[in-house]
Amino acid sequence: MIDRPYDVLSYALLVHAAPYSEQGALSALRFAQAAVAQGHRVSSVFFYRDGVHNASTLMAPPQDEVHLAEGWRSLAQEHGTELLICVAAGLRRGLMSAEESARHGREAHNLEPPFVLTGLGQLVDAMLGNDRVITFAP
Amino acid sequence: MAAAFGQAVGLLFQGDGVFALVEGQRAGPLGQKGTHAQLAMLEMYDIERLWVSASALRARGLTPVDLMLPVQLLDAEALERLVHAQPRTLLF
Repeated sequence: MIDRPYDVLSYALLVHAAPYSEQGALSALRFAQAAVAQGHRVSSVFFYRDGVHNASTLMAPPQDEVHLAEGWRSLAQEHGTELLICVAAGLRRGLMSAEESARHGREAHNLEPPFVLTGLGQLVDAMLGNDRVITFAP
Repeated sequence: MAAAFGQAVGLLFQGDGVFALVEGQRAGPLGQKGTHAQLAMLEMYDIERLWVSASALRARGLTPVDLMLPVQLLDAEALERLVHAQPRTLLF
């Protein structure tokens, strides 16, 4: 347990790494889980570039592997972490919410809360509003 | 975007990132958007601090005269000091 509140840090994470292809995706989730387990706060995770694929609702890894999207969802539900997806990076790669899917005349969507589509301004906001920002590149 | 939020922003180019600054680039043949037009606009956003890793430039056979914008070359030690001196760093 943390008994010195001034030792508690708030973190924002920036995730560029694609799920399962690059170590950065799992490292980001493990860092976030370790940080909250030690009493720190992970306020926001911003997914950019190929990192947006971490949010896919349709992700279906083998049962004996870490389910990355599920891991992030749990973090959001249990610790209130914001899961922010860059809308421009997401749309380019076919990652869209029901609303965006309808707007673009598509028949399916693969992004649902707690993941939310947002803009780069939210990354700047997360960077400025937390003690630390850590990038997980490929 | 950070500059639009009123932050003082500097850009550091390392590794193959230095190629982004090479003069005379054209978008098109590879079917990708170029970044040179955005780089040329940086001054409008008051982003005037451009740093380049001297060793990254040298390793690619480039010199500052090959680049489209004036930059400050940094050796390994200066790079380390720079990163330590910044309150926030984002990697792209």
